[in-house]
Amino acid sequence: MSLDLPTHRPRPSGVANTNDDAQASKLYVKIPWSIWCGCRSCVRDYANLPSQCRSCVQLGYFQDEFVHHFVKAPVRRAPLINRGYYARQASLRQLVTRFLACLHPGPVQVVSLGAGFDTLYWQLVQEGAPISRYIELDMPQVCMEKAGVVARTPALLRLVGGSPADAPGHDPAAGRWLGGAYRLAPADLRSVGQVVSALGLAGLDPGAPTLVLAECVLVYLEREESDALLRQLSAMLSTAAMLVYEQVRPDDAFGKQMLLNLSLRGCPLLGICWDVDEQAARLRQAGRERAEAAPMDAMYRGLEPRDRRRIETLEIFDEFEEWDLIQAHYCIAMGVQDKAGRLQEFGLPRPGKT
Amino acid sequence: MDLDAWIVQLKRCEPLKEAQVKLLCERAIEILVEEGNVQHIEAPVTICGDIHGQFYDLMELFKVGGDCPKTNYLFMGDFVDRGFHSVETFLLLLTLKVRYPDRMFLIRGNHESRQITQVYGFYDECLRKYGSANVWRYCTDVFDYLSLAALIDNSVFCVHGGLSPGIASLDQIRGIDRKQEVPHEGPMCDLLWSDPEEGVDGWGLSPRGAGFLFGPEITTQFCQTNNVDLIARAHQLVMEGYKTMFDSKLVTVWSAPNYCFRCGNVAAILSFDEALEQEFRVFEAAEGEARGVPGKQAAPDYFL
Repeated sequence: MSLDLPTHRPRPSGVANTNDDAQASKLYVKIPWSIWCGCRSCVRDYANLPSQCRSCVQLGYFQDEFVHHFVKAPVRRAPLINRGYYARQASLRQLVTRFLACLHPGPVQVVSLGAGFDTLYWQLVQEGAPISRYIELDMPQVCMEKAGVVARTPALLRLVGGSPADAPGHDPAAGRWLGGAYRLAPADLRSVGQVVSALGLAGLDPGAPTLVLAECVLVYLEREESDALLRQLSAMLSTAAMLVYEQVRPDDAFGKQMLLNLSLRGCPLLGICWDVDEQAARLRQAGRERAEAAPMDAMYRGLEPRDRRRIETLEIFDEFEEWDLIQAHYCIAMGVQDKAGRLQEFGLPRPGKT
Repeated sequence: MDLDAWIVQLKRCEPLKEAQVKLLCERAIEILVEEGNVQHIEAPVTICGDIHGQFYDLMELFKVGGDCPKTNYLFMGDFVDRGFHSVETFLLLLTLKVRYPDRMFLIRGNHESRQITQVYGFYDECLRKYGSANVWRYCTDVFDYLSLAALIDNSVFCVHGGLSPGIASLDQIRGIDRKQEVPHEGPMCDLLWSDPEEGVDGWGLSPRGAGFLFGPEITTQFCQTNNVDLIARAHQLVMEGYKTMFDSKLVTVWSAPNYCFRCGNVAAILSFDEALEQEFRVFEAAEGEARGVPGKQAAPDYFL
C-alpha cells in the first residue's frame, strides 16, 4: 500500500525542517514533533535516524537492547550531551520504578505522549513490570513508521502481548497498533478531540492507575494547547501520575540563545514555562492535587552516586560550566491525582546536598 | 615563507596548505623553545582567555583590542577544540607569533593536548580539512613547546588554569620539563587544569578529574611568596566575560562569546597599559553572517 503523503510543509512558526533536526534525536529517538509536517521526506529522514540513544548505549551510559531495531547507526555526540541524556534517562527510570513500587503488584497503565521511537515499553515488559496497557500517541507518520518496525521485528513483536491482528481497527500501515498490551494510535496533541478519540481507540482504562509521560512534548505546544491537554487528562483519570521532562527558563542569556537556536532548527519552544515553579503550578491548575518540579542539575545530584561515578568516567569531560547551564534549563515536573490515596509515596527524590 | 601573505590569507579564514603548516610549525618550535616556562612579558599587553576555534569571534577580538603588532597580545591557551575553525584560529595565532615573536605570546591551555583534541574536535577538524592527521601532528608537536605561564612586568602572573599544590614559587615552574604531552597529574597538569573556588579552604578536589580547586588563602600566599599583585587566568566560562575574585587578587578572562553558539555569554579581554592600569573590554559574538551560519551538522545540540 502506498502512503498518500502531502508535500513538505513546516509549521508556520518553524523555519526549516532539516535532516539534522531529526538527527537531533531524542533519547529514545523521538522527534520534536512540532517539526513534523508529515511529508514523505520527513518519513524517509525519520527512518534513517541515527540515534543519540544508540550513542549513549554504545558508550555504556545505559542499556537499551531494543533501540537498535529502530535506528541503525549511532552518532557521536559531545560528552555533555551523552551525560545529559543519561541524567534524563536515569531520573525518569527512577521515577517509573518508584511509581510501579507504589502500586505493587500492579497492574498499571502507561500513556506516553509524543512517544516517538521510545523503547520503554519493551524494556519494562522484559523486566517483568505489570503493564496492563501501554498507550503511545504521536503524529500519524511517526506511528506508521513505528508500527511498521514493530510488525517486522520478531524481538519487538514477541513482547507486544495479545493477538493484535484480530483486534478491530488494528492497522499498522495506518499507524494503529491495537489489541495487545502495547498500543499505538495517531493523534495531533494540539487537538484535545483527537487525543480523546485516540485514547478511546487504544482502549484507555480510566479507572486503572496510570503513569502519563511527556518528554519534550508539551513545550512544543502553545500554552493554551498544553493546558487543555493537561486538563483533559486529569478529567479522564482518577489515579494518575504525570511526568514532564522539558526546558525551562527562557529569560536569561542561555535561555534566550536556546530559544533562538531551537527556533532556527524548526522546533520553537512555543509553550516554555518560566521556571520549575510554573511547571508545578500549571500541573496543579490543570487538575492535579499535588505537583512539584526540580531542575535537572538537582535531579542529577539525586541519582545513585555509584552509577553516577561510573558514567562520569566513561569519557573525558571538560564542559562543566556549560553542563551546569544546560542542566539548569531542563527540569522534571511531577503531578499526581490520587483520590484513592495509592500514590502517597510517589514524588521527586530529595536531592543530596552536592 | 611569506608570513605576511599567510596572515592575510588566514584572516580570510582560509587555511594554509599542509606543507606550509609544516614549515610554520618547525619555525614556531625554534622560537618557542627559547621561551621560558614562565615567559616574561613587558606591558603594555592585552591578555585573552579561551578562543576555542571561534575564528570570527577572534576577528571581533582584534577589532576591539587592536591588530597585532599594534597591540601586544598574550593568549592564555585553549585556542582549539569546540568551535568550527580551530585550524584557522591556531594557524593565524601561530603565524602572528612567528611574524612578531616579541608582540604575540601564546601559553598552553588544557586543550593544547593530543588526548583532549581527539575528543573535542581539533583532531576531527584537521582530518576533515586536510584528509590526514599530519596537520594535527604538526600542531600538537608545537603545543609541547608552548610556555606554561607568563609574568607581566614581574607583577601579573598569567596561566591557563590556576595553581598547584606542588608549586609554591615561580622557580618551581621554571624547573619543569614542559616539552611533553600534558600529564594526567602533577604541577604541569595543575597549572592547566585548576580552578579558583570561593569558600574552598586550602585545596579542594576538582570535579574535572584533573587539577585542583584552590581558595583565597592559597591565592594570597602564592602572591606574597612570588611578589605578584594579580593572578590572571582563563579556563572557565564566565557569562560576563570576566570575573574578579579573592579581593581582586585573581581574575578570570573568557574570550569566546556565545560559547559553542549555545551559552549566550559575552566575552572580554583585559588590557594593561605601561603602568599596569587595567581595562576590561567586553565584546559580543560576530554577526551570524560574518562567521558563516553553522551548517546543519554543526547546529548546537540540546536534549530533544
